Amino acid sequence: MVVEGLLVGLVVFFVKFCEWWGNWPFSRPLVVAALVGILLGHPTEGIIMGASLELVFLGVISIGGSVPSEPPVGAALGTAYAILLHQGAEVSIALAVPIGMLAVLYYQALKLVITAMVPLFDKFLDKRQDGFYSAGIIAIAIIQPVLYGLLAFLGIVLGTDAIQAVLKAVPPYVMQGLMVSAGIIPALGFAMLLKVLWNREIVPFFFLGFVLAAYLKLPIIAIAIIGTCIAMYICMNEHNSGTKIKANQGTAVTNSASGKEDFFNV
Amino acid sequence: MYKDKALSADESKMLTSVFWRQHLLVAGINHVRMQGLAYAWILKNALKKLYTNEADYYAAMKRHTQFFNTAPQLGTFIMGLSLSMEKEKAEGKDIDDDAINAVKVGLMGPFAGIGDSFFQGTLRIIATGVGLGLSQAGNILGIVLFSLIYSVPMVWLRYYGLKLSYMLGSKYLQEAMESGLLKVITKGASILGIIMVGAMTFQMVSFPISFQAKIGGVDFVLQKVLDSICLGILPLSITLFCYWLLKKQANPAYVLIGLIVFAYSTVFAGLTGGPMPK
Repeated sequence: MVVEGLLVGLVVFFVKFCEWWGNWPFSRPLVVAALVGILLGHPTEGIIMGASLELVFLGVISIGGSVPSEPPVGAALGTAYAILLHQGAEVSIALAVPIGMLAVLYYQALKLVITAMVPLFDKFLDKRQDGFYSAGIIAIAIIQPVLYGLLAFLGIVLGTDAIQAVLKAVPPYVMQGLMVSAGIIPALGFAMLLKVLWNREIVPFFFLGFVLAAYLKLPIIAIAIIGTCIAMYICMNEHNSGTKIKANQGTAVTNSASGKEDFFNV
Repeated sequence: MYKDKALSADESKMLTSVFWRQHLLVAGINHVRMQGLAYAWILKNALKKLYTNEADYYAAMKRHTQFFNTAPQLGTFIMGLSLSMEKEKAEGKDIDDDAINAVKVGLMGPFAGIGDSFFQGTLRIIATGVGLGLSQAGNILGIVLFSLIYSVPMVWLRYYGLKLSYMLGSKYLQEAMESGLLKVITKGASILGIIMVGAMTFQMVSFPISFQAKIGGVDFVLQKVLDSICLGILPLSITLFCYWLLKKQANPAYVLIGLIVFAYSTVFAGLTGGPMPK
């Protein structure tokens, strides 16, 4: 399991590094699971598991730096266990969800360590040692993902046998229930997104999107284009009428009005 | 209007340095200063070039380690402003230290709101929607498309935002805020986002009822009855119920456990989990 552990650790290191260096979306389960699958020699299974896992973690977003779960760790380990133990996507979900939740504790611990280091950075500036300051930031950017990779490595090396024993012991109806659960868990993800987006004025559009998909059977990209057109039309209208009201009030907005057009034209 | 002004070679060098460094904005995130530590590091080389006097340089660095937190994808809009103000200050204009911080503090909230709802609520949902279908079929193109749809606008905005805000300065962005432009953009992103969430609620949440019975010699397939009322009525109701629970401040972890318990109870009741009727 050491080689497999290293490969999974490498994936987790890479995606976490890209998350901190530029917020690349590779730490989404869709990509993480595919990478794990490719490195473990089962690319197709990995990609398909990634799709199932992405749905489960869809609503997990970090707002203002607080994360409710660690999808990349959960997805990487869940996929790896499922592939190594020859199981299906339901098993990867069943394992990924609790692992992702536990991994948040790890994130919180790391964040506390950095918080404790803040006075150190202040001291560097007081002593006029900007080289140390830079080194500190770069060290954080590299060491954090390494620690995540290490966590995944240990998870595979130490945990695979235990997980196998558990999976052998479960009766078949457990798997049946997991399949049904996997179907409805995305509802929670969408509910979490709705909590961010919900606003009485725009709620009708939620049902519009639903009907476009349910009755017209449009593919998602077509719905995205229709949605963009509607959103742009409404915004342009609203913005122009807002400008006109201001102009009528006689305030000096002529400059800013022409400036705004530039903003759209540049 | 900004095309009239050309960047000097020094200035574009400075912006390039900031552009490469800004990727690390969230690296040193912590409870006290959030992204503040990295913010100062991002501006470091630029500040060093602006302030030849060492004391001024370190004072500027300290200024930028203060609390800062915004959506990382839009952080460059604020960095460009900080840079243009620091440049004026370095050239001897009378700019208050507090003013430089006030611009940062004033803009980080609105940009965080727009960035989080646009990137995580809208763009990611579109990218996921496109990529997911292909991935479900085991096609690697799904991952490629997902990454591209999300990353290309993000990198473009990071680069363009830096240049734009540096050249236009704080006055322009504040005008844009007051005129409600940013509010309108946020609303547009939310509309698009909620349409996508609605569509994906139908496409991605599945709760097929496998229950069927013969009543008086006639096949009774529960799923067909439900479909004739409204397609996807169960996924829709479950999603809206979850939203309602979250709105009542329910802990998402408990909602998750509730969903799993609910799924198992329908399996035991014989409603789901069996082979689907034709």
